[in-house]
Amino acid sequence: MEPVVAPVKPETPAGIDNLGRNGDGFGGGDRLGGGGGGPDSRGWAGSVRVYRTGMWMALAAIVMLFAAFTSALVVRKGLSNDWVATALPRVLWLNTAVLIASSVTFEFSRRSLAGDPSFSARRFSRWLYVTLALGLAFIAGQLIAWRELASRGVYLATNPSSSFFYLLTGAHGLHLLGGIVALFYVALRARQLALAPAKRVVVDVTAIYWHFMDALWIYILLLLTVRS
Amino acid sequence: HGNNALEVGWTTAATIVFIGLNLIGYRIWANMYFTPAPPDALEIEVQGQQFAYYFRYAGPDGKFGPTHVEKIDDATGNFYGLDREHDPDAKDDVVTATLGVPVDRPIELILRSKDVGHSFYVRELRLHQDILPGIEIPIHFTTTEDALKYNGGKYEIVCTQLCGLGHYKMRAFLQVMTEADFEKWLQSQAAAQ
Amino acid sequence: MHAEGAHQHQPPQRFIWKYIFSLDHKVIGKQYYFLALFSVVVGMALSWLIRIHLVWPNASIPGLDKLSAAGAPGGVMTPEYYLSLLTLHGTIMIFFVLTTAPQSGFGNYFLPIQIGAEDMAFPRLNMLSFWTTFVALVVLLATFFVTDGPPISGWTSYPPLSAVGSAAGPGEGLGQTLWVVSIAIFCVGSLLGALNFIVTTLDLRTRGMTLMRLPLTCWAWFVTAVLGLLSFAVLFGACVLLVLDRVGGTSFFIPAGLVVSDKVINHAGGSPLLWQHLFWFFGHPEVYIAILPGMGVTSHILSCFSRKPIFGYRAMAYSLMAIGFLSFTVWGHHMFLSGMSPYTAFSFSVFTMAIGVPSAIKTFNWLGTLWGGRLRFTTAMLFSIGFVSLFVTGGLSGLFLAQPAVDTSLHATYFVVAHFHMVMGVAAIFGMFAGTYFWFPKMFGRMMNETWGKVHFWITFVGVYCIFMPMHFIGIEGAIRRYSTSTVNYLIPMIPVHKFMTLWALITGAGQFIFLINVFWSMFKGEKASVNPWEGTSLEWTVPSPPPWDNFAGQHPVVYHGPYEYAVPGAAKDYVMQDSPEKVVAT
Repeated sequence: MEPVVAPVKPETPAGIDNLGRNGDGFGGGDRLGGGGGGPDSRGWAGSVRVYRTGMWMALAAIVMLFAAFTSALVVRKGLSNDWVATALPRVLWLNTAVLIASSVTFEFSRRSLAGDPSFSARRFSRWLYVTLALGLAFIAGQLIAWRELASRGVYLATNPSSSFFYLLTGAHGLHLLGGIVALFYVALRARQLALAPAKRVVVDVTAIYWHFMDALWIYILLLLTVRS
Repeated sequence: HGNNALEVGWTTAATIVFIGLNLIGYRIWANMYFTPAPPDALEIEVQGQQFAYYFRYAGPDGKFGPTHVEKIDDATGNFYGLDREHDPDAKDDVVTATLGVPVDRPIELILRSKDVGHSFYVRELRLHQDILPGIEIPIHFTTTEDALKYNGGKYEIVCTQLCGLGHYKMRAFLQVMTEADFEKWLQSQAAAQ
Repeated sequence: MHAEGAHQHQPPQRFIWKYIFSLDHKVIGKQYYFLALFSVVVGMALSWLIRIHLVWPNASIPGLDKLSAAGAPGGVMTPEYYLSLLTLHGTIMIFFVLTTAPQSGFGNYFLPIQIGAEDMAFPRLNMLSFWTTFVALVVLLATFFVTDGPPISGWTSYPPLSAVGSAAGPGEGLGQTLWVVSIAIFCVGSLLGALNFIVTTLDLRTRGMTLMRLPLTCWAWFVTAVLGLLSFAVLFGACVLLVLDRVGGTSFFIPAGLVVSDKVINHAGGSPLLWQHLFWFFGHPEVYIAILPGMGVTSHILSCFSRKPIFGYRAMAYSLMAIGFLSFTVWGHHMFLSGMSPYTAFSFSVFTMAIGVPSAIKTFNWLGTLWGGRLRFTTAMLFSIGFVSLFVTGGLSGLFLAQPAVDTSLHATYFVVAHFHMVMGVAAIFGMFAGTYFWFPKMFGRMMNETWGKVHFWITFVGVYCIFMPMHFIGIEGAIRRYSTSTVNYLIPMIPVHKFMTLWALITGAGQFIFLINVFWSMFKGEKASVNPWEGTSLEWTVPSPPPWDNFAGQHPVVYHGPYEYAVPGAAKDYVMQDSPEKVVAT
């Protein structure tokens, strides 16, 4: 296909790296001050740090949300003698394997960018699309699990154990959908050949989120098998 | 810019005073809640509901009959949902609208709620406990002779946990009586069941 | 170091991007401030209705029947409508006033400037967090207009009352569900804002602005944001569970065997105590979110107008962090009598006393700052001194409540109401007033009227003590909160005290119009402000009043000094700006 070369963007007169239409939240660029301020000694690395810090902070909040759900589950289970464990649909184990695989493939694509000012669009995108497909497969698999429970007559309000099952898998699934949206965005930027080194933080940050969702899923699965 | 000696000084002083006060108060709290009621305490059930209290005594057999939620009928005065025909233990249960207690005897109240959260508060006796739906919470106390003297032994029980539009008028009376008066009162209540 | 991502290269020209969906932290800060100002007027009006009803329960209040024909037929408030107004008063004040203006209002405006940045780390997220909060307010106010009216379960919304639906009472239908949805939306807005504050403080400080040179306002906003990030997520989870109980048939909070309004409730095995734990795990850090920014502002202003460095800067920063950390360990003190284990109750009480220690340190340090200073009694200074007074008063009553044995008598009485109004309803508000009078010149480029400011201060200061001091005493006597009328025998003698408090509530409330008029008049007609009218040292006083859209006009300030270099020996003036290269004693 086309030669793989980092796109070269013309510098605007003020020395500002154009961040795209109306600015997009991703892709740290170097904002050199307009008219007079010299280049920042830290370069672009300092300015993209905000995205990493921001992602870790967002993960902290998500941890607290699931901590709240966990404590609700623990209290509820300990309280009453009406706990009927929900038998986990078998497809959940397949889904787990799919999600772990997607983390692995994401790492393949992310590392193909490492230390390489001209990224291999083909290699990067190929593994990214695989990741995306696996992510969608996971969501589909979760929906299949829900349908299987429904066919057994187990719904959200059937009993406390089923309530937590749907709550935890639903909350995780919604967050993962957010990650899938981010993957679509990264894929789009890759297609536009807009992933110059300065912009790769979007990939790193999405990867942190994605791996966290993976780990969170394993935690939820353990919680549901051990405690439920 | 500051003075480290002063900082250390007032920090230490504040810590000693605050934590000290807390530990001093420990004993009082422990007396109320860390010790169970004595085994010979008179057990009385208290049911909070929107917007009244009803009390239940076990009667001569000393046993509380089972309650049936579907049998609760305020209109006929069956606040606890007792089935007096089929449950032998429930036959002699006495349900009253006033909490009568004999003086100088340990009393154990078993607090329960029929609907939403309520609370039980007698300010003069420092008796205060939230009533949590779904569990039965015991508190215990013993009234002394002095309790007979204030207002003829009659104290207001008020609800302090927001329970709906009638929260402000949810009220009953605690009546402290001599042992003899208490037996007479309980018998007249039993006759009126 | 630079504002990133969505920050534009030129300021937006069209009205909608400049004023409505602005990405400029200064505009967003003002938007939050005015949202809070609107909310506090609504909340204060609700408090007047509450106080009037308490002393004249059968009075016909003109216009009230227009707001709700069912709630106030003929203008006479029903007991359930009283509870609705009380619920909304608490909800609006705590969420839309105390959690917005001090943090997202002043913080959004001044954090980037004080650290030398052009904007927050994520300007678009910032804009989103404001509009999310705005939507939450609209949903909450919508509860006034649904058929069954606003919820009656208090801002604490304890289940089963709040979970079983309309069987539990009027307002517990759609109104309660909308309330929970509104709070959940508010949680999202707050989380986005908290994230922005933390990242900005950590990553966008200009050269030379080390953590130990941050103004204490920035420290306060930072710790507050950490508290918000961790606690609002838990409240969001609790709201999800409550909504599921209400509309999804689950039983997270509803136990078995309930009969409400003669209907057997078809739920089983939930725990009302679970809600209390989740809610107060959020609720206690929340009240520190309400007060910490005020503490930061107080330190900032007391130092400036005492012309002295803050006494013990490091202790102040560390005590902010200690208060923040400990705030997660004390939530059970709202639940001493709830039915939870008495042993757990005692451990919560030890932590609660412990959190009093850093608060005491701060108070001593404020007094140490004032001691020996060359005091300038501007309106902002008066409100900051007032903050210290009110925080001490409110904090002392907290010490009583922290003892479970004492709480046995005081729980759910007006003593508690007096305590939290003193610390939140007054001290935190004083922090906001102080911030307004101090930063108004910078935000609007004009000075407020100092004379009327002082009149406002004195009416308010005297007024709040007249309203809330007597409340402590009726609380000790056993006056129960959330009672719409005093029918219980021992409450009737307290009605004259209620009348006194209502009278002062109305007087003090009227006095706030002086403030409102001062704000709006000065915005257009006030004397033009200079760059540094108060001779302050922090970076906001190096930029024009008001600042240009990118704060530092493309320059990057370099910081050489700590934030409170006043009365430095050997300096040219009695203050040294943070970005001044003048060599003085190293900080």
